[in-house]
Amino acid sequence: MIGFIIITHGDFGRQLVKAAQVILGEQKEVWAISLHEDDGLDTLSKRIGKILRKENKQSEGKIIFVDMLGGTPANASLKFVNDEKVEIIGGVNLPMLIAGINYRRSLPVKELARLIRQKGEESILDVKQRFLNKVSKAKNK
Amino acid sequence: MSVVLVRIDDRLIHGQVVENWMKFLKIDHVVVVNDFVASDRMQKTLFSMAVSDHAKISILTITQAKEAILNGQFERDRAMLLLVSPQDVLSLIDKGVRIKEINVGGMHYSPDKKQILKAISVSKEDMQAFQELDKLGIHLEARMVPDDEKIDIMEIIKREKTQE
Repeated sequence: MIGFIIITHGDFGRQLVKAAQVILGEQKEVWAISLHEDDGLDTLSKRIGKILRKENKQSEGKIIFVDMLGGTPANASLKFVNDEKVEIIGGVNLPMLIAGINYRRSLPVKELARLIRQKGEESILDVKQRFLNKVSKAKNK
Repeated sequence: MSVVLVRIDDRLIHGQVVENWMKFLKIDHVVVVNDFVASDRMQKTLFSMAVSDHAKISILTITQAKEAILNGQFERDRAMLLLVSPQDVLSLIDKGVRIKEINVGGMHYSPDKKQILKAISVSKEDMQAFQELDKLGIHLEARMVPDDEKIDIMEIIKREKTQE
């Protein structure tokens, strides 16, 4: 199983994990790291490194999810860019995390990362327009 | 296969159903059984949007569902029936549909109800309907998502009754 580390500004990531667990039930090997005002780049990197070292022995890899490119969570993750078993994905949202959890037992880490990015891109849509299109289609039937 | 799961859940189709139960049981046909939703175009559209294009969705009245089931319309599918209350399940059974097991996933709180589990609150009428289902020999398990522990809802209802 591929482990996940979700790193965000504030407690967004922690709560995102909770939201995913409401839908999918309790999950193992999902860690959330919150960046608070008093955390620096180094402390954050150390916290990430600790999880990676502790859990990387027989692991099939890890995916680090960060909230946005350019922020400290993303910058701190880049320290692990040379680790073959670690993928880093930005713009984390609920559909991405859910897809990741659903497929992390069946795909190798690089393919899983690709699928998660694709699910993330597909998840941003005009819900109002979709609904109205469906309604007008149903009317024309 | 045909009907793989019968679930009572007053939110009908939502995240736990779409992202968890459907995948866990490899459901390819979601059947909402509800007289109100089946006659409301907006609600029908809303629920049909919630399921991915890979699965079929039917939104039927209790009578339509009875006919579909008795005519074997779901025989080639792995179908999941979603209903909002034990009363609706009872009326489906009264019309001749046979059910062995029911998953109770969510019945939300309102002031006339008593909370018996985290996601399950029941009125007096609900309790009575559950007792009738129990008498018919139907197994009733409370479980929100597949990985949760299965809880025998009748044991809890019996305990509530003795406390009254």
